Amino acid sequence: MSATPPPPLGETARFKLEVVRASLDRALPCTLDLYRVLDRSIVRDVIRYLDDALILARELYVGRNLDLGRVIIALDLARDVALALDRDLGGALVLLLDRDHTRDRDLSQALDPSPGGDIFVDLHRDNRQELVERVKAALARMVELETYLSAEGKVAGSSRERSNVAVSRAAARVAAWSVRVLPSADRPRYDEEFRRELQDLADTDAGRRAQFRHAVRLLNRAVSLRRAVMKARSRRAVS
Amino acid sequence: MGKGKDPPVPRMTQATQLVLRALLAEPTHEFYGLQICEAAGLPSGTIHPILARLEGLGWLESRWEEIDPAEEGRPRRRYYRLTDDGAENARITLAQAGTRTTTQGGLRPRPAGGAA
Repeated sequence: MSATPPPPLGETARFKLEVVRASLDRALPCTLDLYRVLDRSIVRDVIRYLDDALILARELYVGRNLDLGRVIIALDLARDVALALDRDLGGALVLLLDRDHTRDRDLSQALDPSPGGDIFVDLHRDNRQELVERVKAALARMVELETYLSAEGKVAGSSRERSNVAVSRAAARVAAWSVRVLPSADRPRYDEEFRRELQDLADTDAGRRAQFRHAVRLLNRAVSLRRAVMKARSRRAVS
Repeated sequence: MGKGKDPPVPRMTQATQLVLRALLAEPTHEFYGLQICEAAGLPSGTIHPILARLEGLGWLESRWEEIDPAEEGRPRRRYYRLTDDGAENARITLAQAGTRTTTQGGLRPRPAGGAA
């Protein structure tokens, strides 16, 4: 890591770093899933997570002069391997379909990537291994950066924005997104209710991660809540 | 004479049952969202749609905490409480849900005397 201390981070930058980390946390289990089933859609999910992480990491690198260089390089390498695997899988499928289709056994083995589909699986064993290693390396670089930033923060004292903010702004922002999904008539109520929940969590010394997780769970079920409030309203209108 | 329509009942998912059981533990008590999460063992994202459905059916009523947010410097809590009808409906529905669970699983009870 750079010897120069990083500039103080605002909540937006911290939120973006959390999303980079969250994207990597989602990518790794997907890459491990590829050992269970070699599915092109899983590879594409990995590419999507790596893309999400790269976009934000590059924004932070340019905008904040954060020492994200090693993270970005690791993400780029992982993404290259994922793209290559995606191309290979597409190519392999086309190649196999061009073969003699009367050889049903070979074709079914090739299209079935589960154990027993030896032809298909062995072609990509090395690529999968490399992808897992690259994603793990990117995650390791991210963890190093987080450790470095939190250590610098402790040394630099309380000059950062968030030291006086009880509720994580990142969590508040995510909770606000979940409110936007709701019908406009219900937004003021749930906005206040969700903000109070985050405040209650902050008051019980729940960390920023716990508040963020809480907010993400609200966002995950926002559509379900929208359906429920709309149904309740239509029921009241009828009765 | 036409039969009266049965009042609508929420879908008795596991999560809904857990929320109702948590509320029925103290049926006259007012709970706020995080308390219900803790009592039911469910995340907040899960409970809010359930609370909205129950409120829409008239099983729950809710109100704001009586504070001035500007003065207190914090948002208000939303408190939820079972209505009288809601408490009764909840007990009946949970009992029915429990009965369905036990009869679907094991052997059907048979009358004594060997009749099939």
